[in-house]
Amino acid sequence: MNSMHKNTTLNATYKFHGGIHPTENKLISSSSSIVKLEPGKLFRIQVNQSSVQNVEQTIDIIVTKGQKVVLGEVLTSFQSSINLLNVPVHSPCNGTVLEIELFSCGHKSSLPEMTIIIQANEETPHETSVTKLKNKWTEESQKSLINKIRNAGIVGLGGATFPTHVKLSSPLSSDSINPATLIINAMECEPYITCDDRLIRDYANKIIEGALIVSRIVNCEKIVFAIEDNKPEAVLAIQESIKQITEIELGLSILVAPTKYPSGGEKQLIQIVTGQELTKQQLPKDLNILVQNVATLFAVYQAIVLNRNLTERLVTITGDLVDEPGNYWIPFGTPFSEIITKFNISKKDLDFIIIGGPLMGQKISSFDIPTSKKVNCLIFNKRIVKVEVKDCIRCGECETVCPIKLLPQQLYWFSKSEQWKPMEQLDLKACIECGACDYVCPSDIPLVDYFRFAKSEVKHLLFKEKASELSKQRFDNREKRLNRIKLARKAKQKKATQDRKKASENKSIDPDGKKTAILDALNRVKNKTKQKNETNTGLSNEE
Amino acid sequence: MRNNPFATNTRTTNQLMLLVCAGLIPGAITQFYFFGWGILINLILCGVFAISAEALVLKIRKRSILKTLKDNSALLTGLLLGLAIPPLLPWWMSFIGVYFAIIFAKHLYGGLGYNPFNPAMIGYVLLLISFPLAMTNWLPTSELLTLKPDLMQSIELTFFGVTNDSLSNISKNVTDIKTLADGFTMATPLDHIRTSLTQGFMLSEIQSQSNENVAFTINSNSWIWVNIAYLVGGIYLLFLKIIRWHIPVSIMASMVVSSIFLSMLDDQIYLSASDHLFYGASMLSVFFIATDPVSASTTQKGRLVYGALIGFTLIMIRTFGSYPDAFAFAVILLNIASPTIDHYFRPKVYGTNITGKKIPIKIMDDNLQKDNLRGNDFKDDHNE
Amino acid sequence: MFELIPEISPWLVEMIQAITVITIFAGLCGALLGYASVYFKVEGDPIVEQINAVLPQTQCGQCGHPGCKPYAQAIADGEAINRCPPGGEAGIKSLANLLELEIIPLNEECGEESLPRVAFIIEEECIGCTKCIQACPVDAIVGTAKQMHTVIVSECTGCDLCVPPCPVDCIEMPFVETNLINWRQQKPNYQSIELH
Repeated sequence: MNSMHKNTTLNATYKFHGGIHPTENKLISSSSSIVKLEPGKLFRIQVNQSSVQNVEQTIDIIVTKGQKVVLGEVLTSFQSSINLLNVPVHSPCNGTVLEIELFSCGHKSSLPEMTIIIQANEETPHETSVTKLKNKWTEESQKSLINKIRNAGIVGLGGATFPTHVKLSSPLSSDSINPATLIINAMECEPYITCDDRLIRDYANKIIEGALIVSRIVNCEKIVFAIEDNKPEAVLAIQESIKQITEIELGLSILVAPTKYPSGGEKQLIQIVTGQELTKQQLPKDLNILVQNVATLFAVYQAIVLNRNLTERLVTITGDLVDEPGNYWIPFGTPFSEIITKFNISKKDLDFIIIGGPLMGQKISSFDIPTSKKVNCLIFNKRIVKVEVKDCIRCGECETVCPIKLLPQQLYWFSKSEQWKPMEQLDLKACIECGACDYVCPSDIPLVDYFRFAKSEVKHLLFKEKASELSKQRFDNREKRLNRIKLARKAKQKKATQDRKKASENKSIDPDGKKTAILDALNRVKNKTKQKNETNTGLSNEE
Repeated sequence: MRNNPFATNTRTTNQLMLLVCAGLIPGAITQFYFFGWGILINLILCGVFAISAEALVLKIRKRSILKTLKDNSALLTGLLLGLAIPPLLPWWMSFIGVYFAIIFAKHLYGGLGYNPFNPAMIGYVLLLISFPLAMTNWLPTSELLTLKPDLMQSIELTFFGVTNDSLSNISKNVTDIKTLADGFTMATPLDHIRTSLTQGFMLSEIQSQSNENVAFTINSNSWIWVNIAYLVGGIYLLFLKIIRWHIPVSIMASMVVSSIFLSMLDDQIYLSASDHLFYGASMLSVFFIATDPVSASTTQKGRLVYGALIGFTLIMIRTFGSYPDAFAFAVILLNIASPTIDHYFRPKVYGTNITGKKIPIKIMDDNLQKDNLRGNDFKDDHNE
Repeated sequence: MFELIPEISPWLVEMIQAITVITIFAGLCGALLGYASVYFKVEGDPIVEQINAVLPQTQCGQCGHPGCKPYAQAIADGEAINRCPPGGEAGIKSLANLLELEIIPLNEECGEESLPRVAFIIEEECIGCTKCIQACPVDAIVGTAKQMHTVIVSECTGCDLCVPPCPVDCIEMPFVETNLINWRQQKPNYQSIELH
């Protein structure tokens, strides 16, 4: 219905509680256009690149050491796995598989994960020369689209890497208050990161098409493109691309929200767009909403329309030590050491690299770690400043900025004194670890670290309780079994003594046992005659 | 070392405390102008005592002295106590007050952030109860004094209790100084009003602008100026967002409401709202003492309740209790209650305030477009 | 006769009044308590159940009692709370909180707190004697006479009771390996943090 299609750009009317305004530092990297990075020599691809744990054991690696692979070839398979959350990984280059081994890939615990190491051996062809064919997806079934997305290895590329095919697996319903809506998350609220911004500016048409594909899969009625107001060029690009769409059956609109961190979080975004809060048991699909990042939608477009598997992504390389900061297409598996050499970063000035943004990112000190689907930004800053941690003065600023309206101060006190039960009552699980409370703390207390510690301890406590419950049950069962055996044995013994006693008594009366035998025989005869008489009388009665 | 976040806003605890000390400056200068050198001597003495007490206790506790002193909280406690006690108070009384406040009311509970009570107020209450005469011996404003002690004389009075009057060469003590030209002493306005009320006078008589009452009027005016200066300092702190508006506004609101209610009953016995707000140490306690973050309530709704109860208690003790000015007691009583207030007035966590009423998404609806559509100029007027 | 009372003691009347009132009041309270103790009586000893819920249920016997429930009973009867090495410091703390006792350090004679372990039978050396199966308090070893024995890792509590009975010493006690699922975060304990 063409009347639904209007180019409307609206300002957000709702907002969420709290939030901070850190210095953005985005202009460093957003002014230059996208460049494709020269491919490197060595690639390390983790087998599990989605956010789902415990999946490594159920992933089959279908390449072997020494096998030759091409760009985009699938390296792992999930066909035989019962785990529905597996997502395959693909080779980022033409080359040979060097090793399949455990390698520490940057998990915060520094534990090693299964990694496939590939040596590139020839020029990896440029993206556009691989395929020029465009698929028509409008007639394809939803199931086949979801399968294609899964096979292409697409996970949420906003940093959380949740498997996309799981999010799209059930269609949305619609009611009078909440129509089925796809919210495109272009907020990019964290400082330094500009990859989504540039992606929109340069590939707006493709992102919109990706959004249409996804809306077809889950039966959306409306699409909302949510973006912050510090990205005016991106808004213009989207407006242009929406104008070019001629036939569309959905409502498509742009929502511009004020710049505030963390408005890009899923819960906060839903609150900005709809003003509604999710209860603890609800998922966004209970409000008939699906949230997708722009980079994910671009990957969906590439997978469905151009048949390309996910082998690279746009990464923001920024910081004071980088000579040409900007956004680059970097294939997965590129070790950071190659990036350091390519950008002429001086290693002696570099203490650690930050993956992601300064507020929610992760710190990496080892430079062998490869990029993966999670890495959307790399910050290389000079030597850092050390600040002392002081005592909490209970000023309450942390509570003022918390987007979930928790009491970080109370959580801190309980976490410090290791009391886990009160923390559950204070809704520790609802914390999204955004770091806003940490940012405003005047005493520079590492609050988010305390919360992560508390969450891990609570999980451990739960695990221990379950284990001890199980042990107790097995112990009780064992006790019961042993008791049963003991009683049975006692009863048997008792019976045996009784039998023996009886036998000895009988022996005294009848030493050979002949008398009892004679008595038994006489009894049998008596019984038989009795029976015969009864049947005879019965017959006579019947007559 | 720790993980994310790797950024912070630059205001630290040290700066916060220092800025609060800076906010005290207008009030301190005004107090000094009206009440003489005694105020300055008290400030310096109490500041020095506070820092030395903190250093001593840190040494005993085997903590790093410089790092903890740098957070300026001891300095702030000392300065607050120094402004709350009367000028020309004997030095050993300030010594006892400050040392008790820092050692017992702050460090024995664990140091900064662990004390349940406001240390300055604990020190003040200790002095008030132990030395009631000396502590209620406020000088009248220096305009009214016959002998205005200069710096040297003030120092001598503070340290020795007596000084030589340069004109008549007789040694005078503080009580002599307090005596006005016509032989009677004048204490703080609240004190004067309370004693006059017990003697049976009505408020209109006490506060009249008559010639007999010149002394009272001059004295009470200077106290009003002092409170205005503290109000200015407090607004400065609010503007810098060092303290939040919840506590000061709620205290003042509840003071106004309680005093209006009382003066509706009988306005000859009960002071009016403006009198309560501008006499005594009201503004000092509203902006600087009750807002001490460590001992106050921490949740925002809890702070409103905390402030309201402080205001109410203050008016009650002033009107019906036995002390003329009772901010210390009001604050300490509510410090006892602040954990309970925090427990019952927690914010509703995200996701728990669902009333069942869902708000429809207001976009792409033709009827509502007029309200929400702003076309292409999205750059203007966004909040924050 | 009653006229003589004021002579014996001038306060006798008040005394008798006071004593009567207090006695009646005490009687009422006592009756109320007695009724409550009969009507609201709880069978068994609930404190023993609560203590047992805190103990780690490894049934290892390091405390000197044959299992966790007997130790819980002993604690309820007054035994020290620091005899359980698998529960460790956290266990002593929870018991101290529950019973409002002091937190005391772990009794060294009973063992030391260590990371969790599991039993592992070296299959090449096992002779199938079933002695370890009989020793295991939670039935975590599967096997029968002359057949291979093996430990069910998810059921094993690491109590060590199977190691002494084995005649060929084929049971090892390696630590439970840390993987991405059961990895625990360290407590933040730093004096300074790094920023940009």
